[in-house]
Amino acid sequence: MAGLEAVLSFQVLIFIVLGLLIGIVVGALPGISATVGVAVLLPFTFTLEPLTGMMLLLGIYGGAVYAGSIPAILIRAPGTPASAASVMDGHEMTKRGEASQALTISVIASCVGGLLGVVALGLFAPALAGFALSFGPAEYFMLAILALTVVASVAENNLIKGLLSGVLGFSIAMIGFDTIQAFPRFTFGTTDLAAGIQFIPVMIGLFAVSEAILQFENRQNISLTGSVISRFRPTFSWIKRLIPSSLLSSAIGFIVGVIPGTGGDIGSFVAYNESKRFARGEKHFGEGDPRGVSSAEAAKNAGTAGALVPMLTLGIPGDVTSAILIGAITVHGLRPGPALFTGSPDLVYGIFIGFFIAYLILLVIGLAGIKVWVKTIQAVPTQYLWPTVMVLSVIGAYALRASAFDVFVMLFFGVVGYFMIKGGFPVAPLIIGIILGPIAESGYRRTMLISGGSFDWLLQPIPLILLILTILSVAFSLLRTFGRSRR
Amino acid sequence: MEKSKLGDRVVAGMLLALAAGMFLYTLTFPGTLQPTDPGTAAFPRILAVALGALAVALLLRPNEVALLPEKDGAFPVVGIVVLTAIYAAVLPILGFLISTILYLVGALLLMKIRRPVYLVLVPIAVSITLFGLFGLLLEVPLPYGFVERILT
Repeated sequence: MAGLEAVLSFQVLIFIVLGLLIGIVVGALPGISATVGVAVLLPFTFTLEPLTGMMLLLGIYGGAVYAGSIPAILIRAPGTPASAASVMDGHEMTKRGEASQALTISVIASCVGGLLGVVALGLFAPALAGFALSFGPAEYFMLAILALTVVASVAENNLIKGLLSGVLGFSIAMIGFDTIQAFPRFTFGTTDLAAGIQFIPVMIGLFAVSEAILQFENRQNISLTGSVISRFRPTFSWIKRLIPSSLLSSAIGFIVGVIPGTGGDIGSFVAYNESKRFARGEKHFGEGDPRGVSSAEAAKNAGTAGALVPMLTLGIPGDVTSAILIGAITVHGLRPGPALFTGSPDLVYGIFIGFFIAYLILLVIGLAGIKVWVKTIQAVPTQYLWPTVMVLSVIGAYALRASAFDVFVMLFFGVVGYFMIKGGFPVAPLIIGIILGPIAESGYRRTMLISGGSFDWLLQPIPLILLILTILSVAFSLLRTFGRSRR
Repeated sequence: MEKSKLGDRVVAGMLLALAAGMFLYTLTFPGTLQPTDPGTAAFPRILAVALGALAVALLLRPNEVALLPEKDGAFPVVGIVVLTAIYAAVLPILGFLISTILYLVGALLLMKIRRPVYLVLVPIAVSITLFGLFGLLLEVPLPYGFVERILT
C-alpha cells in the first residue's frame, strides 16, 4: 500500500510521463539506445527522491525500448539493440505500405509484453528475494562468476573478447580500498583513486561518450524523412491473431531477461524464433508477418521487466541498463538485494506498481501519437544532438562530486569504449564486471575465511549448480565458436 | 580504414603488459591478517593471470578489425576528445555557461555545421536551457562562474 501511495503522488506520475516522453525520443533516434539515455540522465536524478528518480529512469527505459522499433520499422535502423528483431518483419511491412499497422502492433505488443513482464516481476521477485536471504558469500561469489561468463559468452559472439572485457571490469573494480583489509590498491598514491573509480563516469563514458565519438567520426545526419504514416484502426479479429505470439513471446522474453546478463536483446530473438516455429496457419516470417513484429516487441519489453528480477533481488544486473539502475539506487545509500525488500518495501513495490502504470501510460501515448512521434523525430537533426549529448555527459559526470577528475575519467572510458566498439569488444561485460567485482571478491574471501581455506563449499548444492551452469555457458559458447569457424 | 589482424595483436600486447604490470604491483601489497584469508593481493593476482592468459589467446586467434578511424573521421574524433578535455579543465574556472557555449561552437564546427546563425544561436539556447533545467530546476550542482553569479 505504501508503494501504491508513493507512486500515485503527482510528482511521481509527472516524472513517469516525462521519462516516457524522453525515452520515446531517445529510443527512436538511431544511435541513442535506452542505455545511453538512462546513463546520461542518471546523474540528474540524484537530487530527486529515490522512487521519483527510479520512475524517471524506468520511464526512459520503457519508452526507449518501445520506441527503438520506430526507426527499425521505418528505415531499417534499430534505435536500440533489442529492436533488431523487429526489423525483419516490421520493415518488410513498411515496404508494403503497412508502416502504420506495424507501428500499431509495436505499441500494443510492447505494452502487452511490458505489462505481463511487470506482473511476473511482482509475482516472482519477492519469492526469489525471500530465497536469496539464505544466500551466503559462496553463493554470491558463484553467482557473480556465472553472470559474468553468461554476459561475456553471449556478447558479440566472441568469447575471448567478452571474457577480456569482463576481467578488465573486475580489475577496474579492484582500484581503491579493498573491502576487507581497507588497503588502498592500484591508487598510485593519489587520493582521487582511493575511493575507487566512480561507476557513473565510467558508465557515461563507455555508453554515451563512446557512441558520440563514433557519431563525430561518421557525421551522418540520419533522419526518418520520407516515411509516410497513414491512419490505421485495429479491429478485434486483427488483434486476436496476434495474441498467441504476444503471450508466448512475453513469457520467453521475461524468462530470458531474468538470466543475468541477457536482457531484452537476446529475448526478442529467441522469442521471434519460437513464435515462428509455433505459429499456426500461413507463415510469412521475415517477409512482413505481423506476428513477427508482435513477438519481437512483446519479448523485448517483457525482458526489460525480467532484467529487473536479478537486479532487485540479488543486486546482480540482468542487463546493462539494469546495471546502471543499480547505480541509481546505490547513490541514495540503498543496496539492491534481498534486504531491499524488507528495508525499503515502499521503493521496491513502488517500482513494480510504477513500472506497470508506465506501460499503461505508454499504451495511451504510443497509440495516440504515432504520427506525432515520427514527425518530432524527423525534426531532430542528429548533428546538433550529439554535441548536446556530450555536454550532458560532461555535466552528469561533474555533478557527481563536483570534480573535474570524474570528467576526465568519463572521457578516458569514452575513448576506451570507442576503441572497444571498433575492435569488436563487447562493452556490457566490462560495466557488469565493475559492479560484480566487489561482490565476487568479498564473496570469495569471506567464503575462504569461513571454510578455513578449504574448497569444500564448491560441493554445496547452490554453488555446485551455479558452477555447472558457469561451465555450461562457457562450453556452449566455445562449441558455437568452433562450429562457426568450421563452417 | 582497411581491416587487419594487427589491431587485435596490438590490443593483446597492451593487455599482456597491463596484466604483467598488475601482477607486479600486487607484490607491493601487504600479507594477510588471518591465515585462512586469501589476502588483499589474491583476487587481483587471479585477475592478472586470467587477463594475461586471455590476452595470449587473443594474440593467437586475432580477428580482422579496423581499430583506427577512417581518414576523414580522424580529425573530428581527435578534435572532440581534445575539445572535451579542455572543456573539463576550464569548466570550474569559467563556469557552466561560458565554457559550454564555447564548447558547443567547437563541437558544432566539428560536426560540419557552418552557418554562423546556427553556430551562435544553438550554443546559447542549449546552454541556457540546460542551465535552467538542471542547474536551477533540478538543483544539480553545476560550476558557477561570473555569469552564473550575475544571473542568480
